[in-house]
Amino acid sequence: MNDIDPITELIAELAPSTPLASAQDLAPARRRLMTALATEDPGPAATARPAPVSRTGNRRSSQAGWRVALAGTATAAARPAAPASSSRPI
Amino acid sequence: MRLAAPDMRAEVEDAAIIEASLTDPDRFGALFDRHAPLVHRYIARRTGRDIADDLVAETFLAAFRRRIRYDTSYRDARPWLYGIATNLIGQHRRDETRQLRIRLAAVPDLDDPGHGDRVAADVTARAARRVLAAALAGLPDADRDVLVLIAWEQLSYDEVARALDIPIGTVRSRLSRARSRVREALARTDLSATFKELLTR
Repeated sequence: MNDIDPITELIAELAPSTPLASAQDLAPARRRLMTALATEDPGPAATARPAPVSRTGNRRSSQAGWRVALAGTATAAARPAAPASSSRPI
Repeated sequence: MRLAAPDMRAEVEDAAIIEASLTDPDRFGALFDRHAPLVHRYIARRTGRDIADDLVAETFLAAFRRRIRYDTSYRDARPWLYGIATNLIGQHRRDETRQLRIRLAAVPDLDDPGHGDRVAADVTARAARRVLAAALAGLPDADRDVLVLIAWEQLSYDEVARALDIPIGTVRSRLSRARSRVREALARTDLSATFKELLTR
């Protein structure tokens, strides 16, 4: 588990709200990859089955004054209240 | 909560897909379908969308060519892919710096700019974003890589260590240094009162 640091949260708030690309957006890249795959020789046989690994995640602390200050009054007011751990779109 | 968790609803794990692709290369396409949107967003956030369109293809091509070296004890390939993408972003540092200074510093325009309080708040937000964007852009590349992977992409320290192929102690030290520099940058401005809450922690 990562420790929660306000500076990291502040930087997180700065992340551009870039929407996830659609399959259509990614189609040219996928075509490029699949073309490469089609010309690939089969490699060696697969190795042993993978072992389980632990998974960890991050948490965000609650809304704070600086977050509102960073967003500005207009944007903060226009934005619906979000859960502390999901303040950005996926 | 992980915002960017891979789609593990599919029963086939990443490691199994990579294994299978060693004998059946077409199987690697499933890894693209699962992770390309997140990897693309990561690159786009750092360099802009136009470059991301190109680099996401390069990321998966590089991953495909390196797949024989993938450690299949890691079921989730996302950190591995982020590491490859980060290396490619390293070849576009100028684009990243421009992206940080221009795009991140922007605050959406006000619908009603006539209200005095709103204008003041907007001015503060713009100033804060400019300071933070400049601080982020001014970080050593290696420190910024760690900070962004943790703050924006929600990777754990372990995952960042794996992505960048560095010890976890190095992740911690780079992150600590990056935070200190951002904190110092804020403290040097007349915004220090606004961010006092952060600067005193």
